[in-house]
Amino acid sequence: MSGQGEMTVWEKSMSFVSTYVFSRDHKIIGLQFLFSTLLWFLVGGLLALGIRWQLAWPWSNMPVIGPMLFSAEGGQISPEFYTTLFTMHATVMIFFVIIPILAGAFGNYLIPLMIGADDMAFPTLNMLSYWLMWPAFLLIGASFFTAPYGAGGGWTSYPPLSAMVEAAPGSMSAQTLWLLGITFVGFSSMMGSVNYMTTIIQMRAPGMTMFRLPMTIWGMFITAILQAFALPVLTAAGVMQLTDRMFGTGFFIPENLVVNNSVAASGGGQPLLWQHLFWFYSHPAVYIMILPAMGMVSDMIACFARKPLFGYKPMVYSISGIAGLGFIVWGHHMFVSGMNPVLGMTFMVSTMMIALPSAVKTFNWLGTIWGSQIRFTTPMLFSLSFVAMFIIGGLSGIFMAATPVDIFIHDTYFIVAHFHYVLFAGTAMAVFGAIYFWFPKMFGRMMNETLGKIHFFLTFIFLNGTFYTMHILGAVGFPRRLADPYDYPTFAHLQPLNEFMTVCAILMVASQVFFAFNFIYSIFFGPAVGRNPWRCNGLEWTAPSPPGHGNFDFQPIVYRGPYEYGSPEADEDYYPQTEAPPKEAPVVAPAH
Amino acid sequence: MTDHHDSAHDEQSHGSTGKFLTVFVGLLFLTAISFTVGNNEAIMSTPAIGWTIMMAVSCAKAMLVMLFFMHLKWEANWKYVLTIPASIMSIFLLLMLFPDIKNRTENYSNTRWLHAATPATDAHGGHSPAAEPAAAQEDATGH
Amino acid sequence: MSEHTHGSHDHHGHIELEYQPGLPINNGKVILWLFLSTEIMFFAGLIGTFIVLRYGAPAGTWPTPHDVHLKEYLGAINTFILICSSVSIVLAFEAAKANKSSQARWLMIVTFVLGCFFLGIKMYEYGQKFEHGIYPKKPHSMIYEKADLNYASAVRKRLATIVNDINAADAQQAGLAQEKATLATETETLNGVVENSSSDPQEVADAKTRLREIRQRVSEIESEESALIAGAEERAKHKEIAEPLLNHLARWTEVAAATQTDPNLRVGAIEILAYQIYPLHRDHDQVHLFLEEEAAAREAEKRELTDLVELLKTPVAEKDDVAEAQRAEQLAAAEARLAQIAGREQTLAAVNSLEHGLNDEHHWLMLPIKIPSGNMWASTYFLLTGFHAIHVIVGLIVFACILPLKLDRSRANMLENTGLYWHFVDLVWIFLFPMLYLF
Repeated sequence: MSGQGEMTVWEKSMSFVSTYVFSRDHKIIGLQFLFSTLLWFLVGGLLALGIRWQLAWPWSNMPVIGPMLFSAEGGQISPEFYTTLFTMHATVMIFFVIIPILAGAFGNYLIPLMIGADDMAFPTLNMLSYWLMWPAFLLIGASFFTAPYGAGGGWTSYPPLSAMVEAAPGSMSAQTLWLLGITFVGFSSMMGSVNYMTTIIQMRAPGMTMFRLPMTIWGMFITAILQAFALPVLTAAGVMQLTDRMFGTGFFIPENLVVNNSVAASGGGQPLLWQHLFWFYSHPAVYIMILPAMGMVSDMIACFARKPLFGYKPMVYSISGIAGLGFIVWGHHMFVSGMNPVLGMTFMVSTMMIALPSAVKTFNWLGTIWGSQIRFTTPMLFSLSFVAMFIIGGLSGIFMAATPVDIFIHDTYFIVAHFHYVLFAGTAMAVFGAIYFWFPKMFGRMMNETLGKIHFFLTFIFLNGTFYTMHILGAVGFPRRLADPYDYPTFAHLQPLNEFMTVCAILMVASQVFFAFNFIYSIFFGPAVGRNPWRCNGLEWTAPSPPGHGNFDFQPIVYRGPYEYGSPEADEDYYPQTEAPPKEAPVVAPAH
Repeated sequence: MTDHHDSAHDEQSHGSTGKFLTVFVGLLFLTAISFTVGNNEAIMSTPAIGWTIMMAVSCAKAMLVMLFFMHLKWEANWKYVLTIPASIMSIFLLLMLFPDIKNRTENYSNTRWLHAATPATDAHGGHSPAAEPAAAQEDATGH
Repeated sequence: MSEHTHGSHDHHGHIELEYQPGLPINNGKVILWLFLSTEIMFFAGLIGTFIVLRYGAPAGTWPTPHDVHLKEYLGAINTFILICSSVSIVLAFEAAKANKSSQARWLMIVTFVLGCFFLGIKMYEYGQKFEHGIYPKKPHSMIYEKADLNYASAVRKRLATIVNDINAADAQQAGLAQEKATLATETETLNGVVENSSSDPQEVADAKTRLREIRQRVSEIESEESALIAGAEERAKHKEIAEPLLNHLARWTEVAAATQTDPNLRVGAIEILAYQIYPLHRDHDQVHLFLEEEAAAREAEKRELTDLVELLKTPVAEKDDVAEAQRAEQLAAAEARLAQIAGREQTLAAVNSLEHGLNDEHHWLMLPIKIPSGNMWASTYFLLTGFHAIHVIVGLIVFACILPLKLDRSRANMLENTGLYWHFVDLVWIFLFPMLYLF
């Protein structure tokens, strides 16, 4: 590989284990996160297909894998297994794919490179944060395969049923393992987030002021803050649910709960408390799942529009605004939970307010591409689709923010459509774009553009086929989390629509073959590239591709903002951040 | 505690032993106040007053520990950046949990009262559903 | 980890990069403060839970410290210990800054020891709670929210288990003794066979084998028996206590709760039972009213029954076999009921004369106890103090790791960060102490 030249003597002397397994280098850790999460992405996608299969052709035998998985039921999905399926799909996608691929993979890889540092502030802690994911992987895996059924509490794991071992036959140890797994994810994310914050605050290259940071870094930084403040609350709640299950406490178990013909062991707890604590984390978590993607998209759009990002500072403020508001809106998940109605009103208003900073961001992206000569590379296609899909996902969010509407569409496919538009059509598309975009930096080779475009168009078409239809189902009131909604005659006529969605979903998963092949092939056989194949001006593009240990072979000094594209004075239509102002000698005195 | 940067810790010695001992005596004094208030029947007969005093004392103690023992008194302005957000967020979380407290037992159904603790009739601030549970218990013991 | 010599700040691998730090403190301190922020949020979640459950509990039911055997002064002592340790660790930091490493080490040792004291007192307190049966437990906690039929039957079940276990042990002991006696007789017969010179050699050999078997069995029996015999006296004593409790407290209560028409007698019987087992100060007056009412009712019933008995015992003029049998039956029932009432009175008098509740007088009883909101109290108490104790333990581990180091000026940063963490642990306790012990 082209990075070989930069490798130094001691680096070669390191063993394979300390270089690639227990590495403390942020780039290796980032790639470890990337490979692990892509594998889990596949797992999560296949789980989703299981759900789709049941909804399209309920109680019919699954071809090929059905007899292997559920021989007892003759190849059919059982209702309990369906519950496990959607629980695991959500858990895997949220905790093992989206959050770690954004914060773990891209955060790790890009933060030191983009701010001009040689590594994270605490490399060992960074390594620990990756290896703490493994107990979580194993625990959730074990939870899935626990007999007779895996964890089935949904990713929200609402008590009292989830807090009581006796409640559901399948929840015995599965739910306990699930909670332990989530606790490990929490520890890992907590370690990562404090480390990222310290790195971004303390280890920026001279001249890299906060307002010269690329939007990606801003996204990562704000995300880290959200994680640091929100995750401990989930950990606290998770631990309480664990003690409810294991030691007989009753935090979330109310009085008079009759389970298996006996009154609940200890009463007096409050199930609603779990929802408060859970959503105090999990609502900010939806911003954790999109802010870094927004940042990366901003970088890609500016680069391929060859224009400075429209309204850089408003972008920064709106990202902070989203984060700040994100902390005070969690109650909109609980409009129908029996929460004090006064709170419902408050949360409705604050939720509506999030539309403002989100709109600022959208218009700024549009402003950036306005009148530009867009280069329709694969990353740009993904970024543009992110913006478009985010608008759909964002608008459907406003429906749910209004209490009266939410009462009707609560727990229908409308909400499923909403978060898939934001998380898959939004974040996952941005992540694909980011992989195409930073792949040359990671591996020193390009991915194939043609395959990339095929991948994009197929994914784009089929994802809309799958998820847009969900809005229609939701508006009719089609409930989520039911193994057989057609049991209700009202919904029986919706089965053909579901069949169409399932076919789209299968084709969508199948189109990822283009990506997988392209990704693996290009690691080894893609055309080698130099430091800056996309002609971007971020600091990471001044480092070798792939960067060696220590990232930079020179001392980066930053003189400019991150988006100085399309300048008519520049030789190459852009100014790298490291390029000194043309006239005088270095002016920049790093502010202390 | 890994790679700490070798930033010269140029901090001059702020607190002398005497100062720390003064703070120590202050903390003991405040603890004694809490203890006395908590065990004073006259004050605790209106518990809200006692709780307020004790929480105020705790906050004062926390401030003393943070200002002197954690050296925040002598630190530069970064202290605000690193301490205020968490303080605000934690207080906010607590505040948002309060509205549901009041809501809680008021919405209990009769069957739920069957297994809940019986509210004290002479409880401070009197409780309306107190009559209900007695009736509920009738049923409970009767079945 | 494995490559200590290749820290990120040495020159081996690459050029040393310069940075523009945003805050004028070292990275360790930045990350520690950020970590403390996450800790603040963690404890905010736990304390929020406490507040919601404490103030959301049915009005006036939250246990007072006295109800749950919580000693305020122990909490105060622990507060004092933590404050002392905070002073000692801050002085250790000052000493390290002044390069007085041995003084710093001594102060760290003092801090460590104080932390251990704190945990020791905590363990003692936990032990006291456990002794009284105040802890969450699977599948069913010993704490009941209210004295209802559910509770009465749980008490009866527990007492019945105790009595049954004692009876089973007695029966086992008797069985073993009997088996030993049979074996002894058999041994004698076999010995006769062996000693008899005219016996068939085959028979003698068989007898010897059998004798060996018997010896082995006897030694087995003896080892089994010894424990039973040793416990026999205690069992007898326990049975003497438990049987009247079962018959005159638990069963009486269940019957009363099921048959009495007067609601005060119905509810009162169970409240009396709960009070006898685990007296709560707040129930004192109420229970004494119930007791008086029950005594009055008993007196009335007794008078009625005595009259009836007298009436039945007076000889009747004309003889009628059927009526006679009926009268005999009535008489027996009345006398049985009188005996029951007498037993009840006797047991109540005995229990009332005890200084403490039954569970405290006889720890082995472990009867279900009634503490309104006691389950939530135990849950939150153990959660909050438990997580605080875990933080103390982590602090002690860190102390143990840095104690062997030379605590001079170069390690002042490390000591400062450790101190910040320890002060945070102290801070949490500053809020927990009034909330758990004094509210």
